[in-house]
Amino acid sequence: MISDIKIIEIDKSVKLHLIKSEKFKTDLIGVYIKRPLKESEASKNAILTRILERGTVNYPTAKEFNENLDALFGAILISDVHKYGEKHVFQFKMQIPDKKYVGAEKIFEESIEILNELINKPFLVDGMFNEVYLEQEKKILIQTIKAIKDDKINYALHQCIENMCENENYRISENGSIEEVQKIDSVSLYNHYKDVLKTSPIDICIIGDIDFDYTEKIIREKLVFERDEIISIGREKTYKNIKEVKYVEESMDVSQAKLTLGYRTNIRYEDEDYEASVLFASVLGGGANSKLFNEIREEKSLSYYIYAKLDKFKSIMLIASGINTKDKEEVIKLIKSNIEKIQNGGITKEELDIAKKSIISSLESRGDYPNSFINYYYDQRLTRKKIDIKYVIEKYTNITIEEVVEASKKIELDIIHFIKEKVHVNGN
Amino acid sequence: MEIKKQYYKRINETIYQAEHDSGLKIFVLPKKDFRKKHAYFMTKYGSIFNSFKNEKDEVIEKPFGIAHFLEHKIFEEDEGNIFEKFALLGADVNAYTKFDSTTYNFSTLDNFYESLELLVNFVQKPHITEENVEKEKGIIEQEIKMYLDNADWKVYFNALKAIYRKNGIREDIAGSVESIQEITKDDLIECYNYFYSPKNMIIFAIGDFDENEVFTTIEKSLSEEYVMRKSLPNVVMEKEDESVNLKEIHEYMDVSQPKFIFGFKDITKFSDKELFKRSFAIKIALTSFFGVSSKFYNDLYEEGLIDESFSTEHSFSEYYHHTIFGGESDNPKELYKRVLDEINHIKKGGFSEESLIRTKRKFTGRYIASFNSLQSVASLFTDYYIKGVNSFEYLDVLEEISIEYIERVFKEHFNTDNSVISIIESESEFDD
Repeated sequence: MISDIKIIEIDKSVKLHLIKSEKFKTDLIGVYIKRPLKESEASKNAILTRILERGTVNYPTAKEFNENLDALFGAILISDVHKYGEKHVFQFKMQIPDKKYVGAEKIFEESIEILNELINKPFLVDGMFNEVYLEQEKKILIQTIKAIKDDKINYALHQCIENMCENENYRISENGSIEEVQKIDSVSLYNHYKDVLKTSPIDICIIGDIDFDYTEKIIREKLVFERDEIISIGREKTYKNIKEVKYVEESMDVSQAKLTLGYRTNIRYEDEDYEASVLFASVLGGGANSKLFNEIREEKSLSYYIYAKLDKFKSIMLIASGINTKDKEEVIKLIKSNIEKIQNGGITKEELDIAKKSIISSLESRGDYPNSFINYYYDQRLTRKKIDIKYVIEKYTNITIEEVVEASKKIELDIIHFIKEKVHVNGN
Repeated sequence: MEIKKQYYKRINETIYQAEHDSGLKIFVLPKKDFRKKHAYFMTKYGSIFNSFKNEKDEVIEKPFGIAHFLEHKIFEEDEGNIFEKFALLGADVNAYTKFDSTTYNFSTLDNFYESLELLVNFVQKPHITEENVEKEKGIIEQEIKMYLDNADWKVYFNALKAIYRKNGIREDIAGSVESIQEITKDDLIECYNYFYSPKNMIIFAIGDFDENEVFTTIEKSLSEEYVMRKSLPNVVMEKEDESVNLKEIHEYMDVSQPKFIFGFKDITKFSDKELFKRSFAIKIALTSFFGVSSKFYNDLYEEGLIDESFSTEHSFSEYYHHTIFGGESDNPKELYKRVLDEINHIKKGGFSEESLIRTKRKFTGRYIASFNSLQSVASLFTDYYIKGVNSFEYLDVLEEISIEYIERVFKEHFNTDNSVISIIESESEFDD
C-alpha cells in the first residue's frame, strides 16, 4: 500500500515527489524531463539518452560505468525517451535494492551520485560530446528506426498512425526519423542538451520504503539542475475534420495480414465523458470478454488477436488484428457492426460490469509495482488529474450504460490500414 | 494435509507447503500489503512431451502442438464461458504452454477464494467436443502464423533445430499449421487424462491472504474423480547425440538487419541440484565475460559488431541443456568467430576474484528486487520447481560458487565443436 506522498518544489519547476511504501524491497528513482514532441528535436532527444550512457566525467567508459552499477548490487539505470501524446519525455530510472536487504547503508546516496553523473556530468571532449561515440550511436539509432518494420504487429500500428496523423506531430516516432538523425552533430547536440536541462519542467519521483527527510536532503545535495526560463508545452489538438475515410494498403512478405482501424474518439481527458469512452473501448475490444474477441475470434475463428486501445492524450482509438487477407472485408464489417450495436444501446449490464472491474483492477494494482505506480503518477500529473486512485475508481464505478452509449456515438472512423501478404510470382 | 512452514531469513519471506493425499503439491506465499493476489495451477506437461508410454507400456506418439492445443481446450466449459465467470469475479485468467509445463493462472483484487475454486474446477473438468476442437484449429492457425512472421522467434527455433537431433524442443510450441490439423478430440482427452493427474501437478498461490484458507479452499475444490487419477507420466525421450544436428542454419526473411543465435549443446547428466549450481557458474561466467560490463562487450560495441541487443541465456532441464548468444549484427559470422575465440581464451583461465564478487553482488541485488513482482516470484518458483529445485535457495547456492568451480564448469559446458549458428537475414543482404 502507498502510505504517504509528499511533493516538494526543490527548484524552479523541479518537483520532488516522495512516495512511501514499506512492502517493496527496492527503491526506485524516476527523473522525468518534459519536452514537446517535435520533428526538430525528437531524434536529438533519443540519441542523447544513448550518448549519456556511453560515459561520464568519473566513469569515462560504459564499461566502468556498468561495473559500478553491478557492484552497487546490480543497480539498474535506464535512460530513454517516451512519447506521451505530443509530448516527448526523457525518463531516467534507477532501481536499487533497499539497504536493509543488502547491508549497504549508503546505497541510496551512492546511487543518486551515479544518477547525477549520468545526467549532469556527461563525458565530453573539448566541451562537446565525443564524436566517435556519436557516430556509433547514430548508426545504431538509424538501425533501430529501420527495425520498426521487423516487428509486424507494431509496424502495423505505426503505419496506421503515420498515415492517419500525417499533418500532426503525433505521427513522429519516439526516435524521430533517419533524416533527422543524420543531421545531428556533436556541437549542436550538446547545446540542445544544455537547453533541455535548463528549460524543461522536471519531476523526480522516488518510491520505496524511504525516509522522507533523508531522501529530500540527499536529492537537494546531489541532484541539482541549472535553471533558466522554463518552456511551456501545449496540449494536443484532438479534433480533425474528416471528409472521407482514408484507405491505405501495403504489401509485405508476411504469413499473416494485419488490419488496423484508426478512430477519433472526440472525447478529451478533461471531458466529463472521458471515463465513459475508456469503458466503451474496453467493452468493444478490451480483452477476452470483449465483443470483438467473442465474435471475431471465439465465434468465427477469424483471428488469434483483436483488440482496441485508446491514446488518452490524443483521443485516438486503434483496433488491431492479425487475419488472413481473404477475410479483410468480413472482419471490417464485423468491427463496424459491433460498434453500431453499442451505439444502438447494445451493452449488457454484465459487459459493463466486466469492463469496470478490469479497469479498476488495473488501477488498484498499480500500487503493487513501483515502476507502474510512478508512471501512473506522472501520467496523472501530465493530465492534471487527481492522483488519488480511490477517487478515479469512484468515477468509473458510477458510469451508466447510457453514458457509455452516448460516448460511443462521438467516435469517427478516420482510416483503415491494411498490410496484405505479398503474392509471389514464380519465374519472374 | 500437513502444512509445513519455512522461513527464509535473508529475503524475509515465509512459504507454506503441503502435499495432498492424491499427490498434488501446494505452495502458498503470503505477501502482506500487495493488492493483487495470484494463483497458478501447473502440470508438468509441455510441448516436448509428445511421446509417452501408456499403462499397457505401449509407446504413444501424438502430433506436435498437442500440449498447447489442450491448453486452449481446457477453457471450454459445459455451460457458460469461463473467461466471463472469472471476469465477473474481477479476476483475469490466462494460460501458457512452455517446453516442459502448462500453467493456468489468474490474478484478482477481490474474491480470491471463489476465483481459486473456479481455477481448480475448470482445469479438472474440461469440456472437449469434436465441434469445439475443429473450431479451435482456425484460431491456433492464426496464432502460429503470427509467430511465423516473428523473426526473433524463428531464429531461436531454427537454432534449436540445429542444436538437437531428436528432442521435441526442436518443434514450435504450438506445432505447425499441418500438425494441428491431425489432432482429434480423442487425442486431447487421452493426453489430458495422462498428464493432468495430481501427482504431476502443483498449485502455487501468492498474495495478501490467509494461508490456511487457501489450503482449505483447494482441498475442498478437488473432485473425487481428479484425486483418483493415478498416472505418473512416463515420457519417452530419445537420447540425444553429443554432436549437433546442423552446424549452421540460414533463413531469409524481410528483416532490416541480420539476426543471429549461437548455440552450445551440453548432454552431460547431473542431479537436479548439481545442474542448478552449474547454471549459476555458467551465468556468472556469461555475465562477467559477455555482459554489458565486460571487455568483450564493450570492445565489440565500439567496433560496431554488436549493439545492446546482444545477450546470453543459459537453459537447462532434465531433457535439454544449452547456452545461447543472440542479437542483431551486420556480420554474424565474424561475431561467431570472435565468440568462439573468446570462449577458447576463457578456458585458459583469467577469471578474477574481483569480478566474481561484483557479479555475485549483482545477482544478489537482482534476486532481491525480483520480490517486488509477485508474478516474477511465481514464475521463478514454478520454473525451477519443474527442474527439481527450490528457487528460495537461490542466495545460498550463489554463495557456494567459487572461481575454481566456475572454471571447471565453463570448460565442461562449452564445447566449441558442438556449437551452431542460426542466421535470419533478408535476401538482398545475402547477395552482397
